Amino acid sequence: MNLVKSINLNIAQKLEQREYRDAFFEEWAKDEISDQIRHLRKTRKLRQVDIAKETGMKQSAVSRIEQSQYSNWNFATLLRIARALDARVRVVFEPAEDVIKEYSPPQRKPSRGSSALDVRENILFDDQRKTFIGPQNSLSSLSTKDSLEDQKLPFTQRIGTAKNQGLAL
Amino acid sequence: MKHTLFQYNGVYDEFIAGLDIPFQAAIDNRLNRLSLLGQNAGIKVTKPLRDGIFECRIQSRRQQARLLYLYLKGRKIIVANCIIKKGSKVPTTEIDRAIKIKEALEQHPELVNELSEIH
Repeated sequence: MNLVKSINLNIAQKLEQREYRDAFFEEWAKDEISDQIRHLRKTRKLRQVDIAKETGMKQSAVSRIEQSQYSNWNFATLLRIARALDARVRVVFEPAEDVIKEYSPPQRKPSRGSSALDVRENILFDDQRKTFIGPQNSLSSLSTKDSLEDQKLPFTQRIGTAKNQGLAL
Repeated sequence: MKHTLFQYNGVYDEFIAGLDIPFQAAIDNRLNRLSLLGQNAGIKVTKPLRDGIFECRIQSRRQQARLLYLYLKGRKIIVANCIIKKGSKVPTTEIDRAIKIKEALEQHPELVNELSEIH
């Protein structure tokens, strides 16, 4: 018996479920906001007390905001912190279907020796993708057969890019 | 470069099956973050305990969970123990159990299947 086996998080599939998706997105956003603030503060070689002084907040409040389980800040607070960090706040609303694609394992492109059926299947999926117009379509109808070229940047690169660009929420 | 996640004796699958869906999502989010960032995931996400055992912290609403894990060569993370946190500290017995698993895996690295990949 194999005592050690891989963990299959299977996030893309779980995200199809609304309750899971809502909770996952909330946790992800909280982690991102606190992580980006902390990361940029350290990059700027600032202490929490420096941010507190600049924003007129208490150091304990800055500490709380840098904790990922905290989410009672408001937009004005984030703007004040961004100003203290000399950064821009960028808010991006990503449609759930795009996020699900992001977490889907990359699909292989059909090889040259693919059967006619495989090619036809890909054409059909391409057509579906072109006609897809937004959230009113059910998530389960989305194509998961995108080619590698259609995949967005990997998640790790996205985190890096977001950090480089400032506060991309 | 991301880490590959493993579990010892199905602890993760067993643990997560008994939790409500929002808590499952919170744990998956943290574990995914851990696999992508490793020790750079931040002190609020991961914290060293002792003897090469780390904890991954998850808090969702009023529930708190701790996944005790260790690193193996080749960017492998092995989840050795999962607990719902009730007191202020992770119980020593739970850490000791993770340490024993670490020692066993270091003696028998072949137990980790290198072909398995996280999705």
